Amino acid sequence: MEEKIRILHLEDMPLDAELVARELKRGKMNSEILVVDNKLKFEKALIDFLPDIIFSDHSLVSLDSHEALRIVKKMGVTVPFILITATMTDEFAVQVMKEGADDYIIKDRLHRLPSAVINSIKKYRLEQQQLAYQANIIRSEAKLKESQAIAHIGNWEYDFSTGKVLWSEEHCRIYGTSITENVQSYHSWMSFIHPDDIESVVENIKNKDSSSTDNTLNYRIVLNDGTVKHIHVISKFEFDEDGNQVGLYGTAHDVTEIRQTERQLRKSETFNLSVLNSLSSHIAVINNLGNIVARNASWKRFALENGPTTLKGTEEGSNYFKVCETAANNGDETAAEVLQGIKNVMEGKQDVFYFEYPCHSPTESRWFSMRVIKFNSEEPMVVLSHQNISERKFAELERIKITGDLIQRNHDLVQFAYIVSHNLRAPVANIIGASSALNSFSLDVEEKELLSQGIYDSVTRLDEVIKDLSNVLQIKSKLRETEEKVRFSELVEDITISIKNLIDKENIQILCDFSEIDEFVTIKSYLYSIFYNLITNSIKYRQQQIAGIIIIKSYLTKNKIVLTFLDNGMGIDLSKRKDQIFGLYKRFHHHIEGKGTGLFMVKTQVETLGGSIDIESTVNKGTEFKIEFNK
Amino acid sequence: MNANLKFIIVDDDPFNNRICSMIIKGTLGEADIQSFTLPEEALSFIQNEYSGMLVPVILFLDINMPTLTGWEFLEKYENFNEKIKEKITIYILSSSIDQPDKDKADANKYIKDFISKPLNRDAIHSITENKLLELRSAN
Repeated sequence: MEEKIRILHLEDMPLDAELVARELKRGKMNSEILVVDNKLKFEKALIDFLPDIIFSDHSLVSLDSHEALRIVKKMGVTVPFILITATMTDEFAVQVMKEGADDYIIKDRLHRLPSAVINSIKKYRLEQQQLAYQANIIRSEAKLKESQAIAHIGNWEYDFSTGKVLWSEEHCRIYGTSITENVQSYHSWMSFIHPDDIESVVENIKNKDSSSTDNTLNYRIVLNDGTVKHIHVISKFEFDEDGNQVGLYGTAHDVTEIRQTERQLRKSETFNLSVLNSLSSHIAVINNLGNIVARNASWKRFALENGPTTLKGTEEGSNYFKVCETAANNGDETAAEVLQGIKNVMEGKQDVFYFEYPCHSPTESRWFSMRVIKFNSEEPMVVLSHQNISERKFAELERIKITGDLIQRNHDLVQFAYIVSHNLRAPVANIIGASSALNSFSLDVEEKELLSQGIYDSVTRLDEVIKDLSNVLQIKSKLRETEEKVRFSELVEDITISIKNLIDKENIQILCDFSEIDEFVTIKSYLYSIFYNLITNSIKYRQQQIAGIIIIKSYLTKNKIVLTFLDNGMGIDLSKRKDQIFGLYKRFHHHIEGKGTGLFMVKTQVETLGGSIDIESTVNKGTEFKIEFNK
Repeated sequence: MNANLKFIIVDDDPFNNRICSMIIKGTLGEADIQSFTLPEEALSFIQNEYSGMLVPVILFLDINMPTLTGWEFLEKYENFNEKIKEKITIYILSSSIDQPDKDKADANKYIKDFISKPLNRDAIHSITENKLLELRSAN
């Protein structure tokens, strides 16, 4: 023993104390001794000195060794107590040992003291350690029980030699048995197993691979009260020193609640998914990076049918933002708008983004609506739903078309009434006026001649108006003329030949550029009439003092064919009359012969061919007509 | 009795103007008639050359003219000196039998009446008699 041993010596005879000290020194004992001679000092030293061992004389003046031993026990000091006395009978020695002394030494044989001290302390420390181990074991045993109860995990041990299966408290509780019924057997355990699971459990046990360290097994048990529980078991073999299987041990986890939660979750997931999949709308969830994190069956089907090129041709895992960006870069304006809308909803700038767009497949024309709503989740996500609204949209478009047609018809009728009252009525009024003058007044020959000529002119004019009206009405009713491939260059050539005299006389130059697009499938006679009217118009309203130039061009835009007719003629002041320029019998130049039917006919024919016409003009600079047809 | 009345006809149709002149002359015997096929010229005549004379005027105005419609003519006329306008009585003389045209004429304070073409004796008689009564009561 290396460390210094602290010795408390209760002794009122200084000589005896000296003898003890000398003996210890002789035994080369490293010690510090405190000698006390009365009860008070003894009690104080027990607390202050913290001895490793106590020596006690048997009888002192103030107390005896029995009393001293009681004090030690009472104060909870757990160190060896050695009695050192002059004489002692065997009975007395037994008595003292019984009371708790660890050893006794006769004063005549003090040479035994050093080894007695060392032995006592060793023995004492061993005892203390054992006590601590025991306490630890008891504590961890309690903790294990508690943990098992909390986790609903029980454990068991199966001893092959005895055939007994030992259950832990929690294992008993899981199986619904009392904790005293903790000794079971393989067969008693099997009796708990759910009839439907017996086969698979037996199969599992039979195939248990002894080399594998862990085995898991799931089965249901039926308690005596009929309760069904789900059990998850992990087991291991126990081997003896020679490597033979001597037992099996493991844990049993009551997973009933977990299974039920899982089942409910699965059920609600299946339910939600079934509902989503039954919807005809294409629904997907995308995150703030644009990744498609979920989609329903309709979405998937649509993606498969339409391939990756359309806006919605996107499978789970692909990036919707990228699809939109690519489409936008390829000139798809709707894609850019959709992308912005989704981002706005994602960033909370707007609650809902709604958009209707055409998405025609090669075989049918379709319309879709798109709705983007913020999705409640930890990371920002939105739900996109696309719905086929073709039916509604077609009905709507049909209604708009019918309304438009009706407005146009009504407008035509008003215009027709106006034409009747003005353009038909004017020559009629002249005829009436002239004939009444002829009959009522005495007129000279010259005057009579003039009136007769006037009446003839008026009748001719009347006839022309009637012919014009009939022409217009025929165009409007869109006679079943067949469409054919028409070359713009050939049309211009035909027209220049037919009005060659006029062109030569007025010294007109016609320049054409049809390099971008020269062909168009349409009704040839209409397009001819359009070209003819615009070219002759430009000639008619040229500026006399400069050489007339007409430039005719064609080009393509995204979905249109555009034709422009530019001249350097006298132009028209459009500031007041732009809305009337294409009206029937609208004339804007007094001195030049014109009926006011040309531009009206052009516009009617352009519209009949499904196009539109617009005019830009500056007085004394020139006029440009721009015609657009759908490709 | 007619020497103190002047007739102005504004219509782009020269044949109509001829017929009107004949009917006025045939009805009243002699008359001071001036006709314009360009309304702009009629306006500048009234403003520049007529302003000194101030003989009462009966003005027949057509609606449907290419360079300046009857309505546009009236917009410009509105800015004329009150002295001139006092002397001029405007009648719309149109081939139109269109009710909206008539309604528009009724709503215009410078238009005395709407006459559908052709002009005839009865119309001339009632116009001149009206005018003379007016002048007499004014004096």
